[in-house]
Amino acid sequence: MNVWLVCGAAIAAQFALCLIAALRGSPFERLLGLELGSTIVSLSFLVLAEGYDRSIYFDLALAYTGASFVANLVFVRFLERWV
Amino acid sequence: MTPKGVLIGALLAGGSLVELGCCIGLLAAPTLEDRLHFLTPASSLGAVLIASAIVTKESLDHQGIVAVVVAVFLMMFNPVISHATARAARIRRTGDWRAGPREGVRRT
Amino acid sequence: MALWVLFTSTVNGSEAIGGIGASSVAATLAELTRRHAAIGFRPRLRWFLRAWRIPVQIVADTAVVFGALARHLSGRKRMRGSLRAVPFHHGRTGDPRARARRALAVLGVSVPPNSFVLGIDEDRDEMLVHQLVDDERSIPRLLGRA
Repeated sequence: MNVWLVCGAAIAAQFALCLIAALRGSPFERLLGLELGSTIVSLSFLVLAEGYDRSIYFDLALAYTGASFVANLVFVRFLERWV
Repeated sequence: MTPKGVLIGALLAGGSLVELGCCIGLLAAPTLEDRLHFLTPASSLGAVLIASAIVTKESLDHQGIVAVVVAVFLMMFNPVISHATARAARIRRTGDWRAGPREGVRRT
Repeated sequence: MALWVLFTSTVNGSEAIGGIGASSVAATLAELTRRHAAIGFRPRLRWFLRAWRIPVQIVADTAVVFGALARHLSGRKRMRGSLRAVPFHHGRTGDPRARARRALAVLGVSVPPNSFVLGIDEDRDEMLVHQLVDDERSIPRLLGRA
């Protein structure tokens, strides 16, 4: 156990709060839970990668950040017009 | 505990607290637009603090560069999502993103 | 190619071949997109000189936003955002320079936590901004007018 794993676990635990936000309110309000959750997950990937000392997990964080940005924009577009 | 270790701990603690504050703000804020303001600190200040901790530990090797790229990406593109979400929500609600005549818009 | 070398942190033949291939594909796709989508984007270099204000405003606005949250949670003052219209010349719709100016202005004002842009009205030449805590001076400062 090191400070990185403790911090990574703490940040990952905050995802539960984002999940609560994603489970209540209008579709747009739920989308905010998803958007903040994406940021939380990206940062927890970075910190946990450092904690486990695996450089491949850093690439996972980078790929996830890009993919989640695109996914969030797709959700926004669909909620604006079609869903 | 070396000074470098203390700095890393402080940066990680600061980043985690910023993220926690954003999560609490997201749940506590009354309206959608007010909640949107709590997405940006997470992707700007929070991400920069955490990336700084990684760069302090790793300097600018592969891990450090990836951390910097992730932080810059989050800082630049998450506000775009906030802008798009707010605009889309207003269009969905009122048909137009522009302020209606009854909305009190302050002017600079 | 430079990013590939940075990410892999190695300079050897096989990585270089992979990097050349990947960067060739990316450059080809970017050029095809630029030509077919007709997305013009021509910013002026001096617009980026104002970017130093953004990190300062991020730190200040984070304190403002969390202060508003603390007051809301303690019951002292309920959180209530507001809309603000700031004069901003829209420019011609298809002009790449005007398009770049609008995009950078939207990004620059939306990055600090206390404000985000809803849009730039072409008819009224004004930028509609939502602020969590009303601040008349921060947006003109970010736009380089203060």
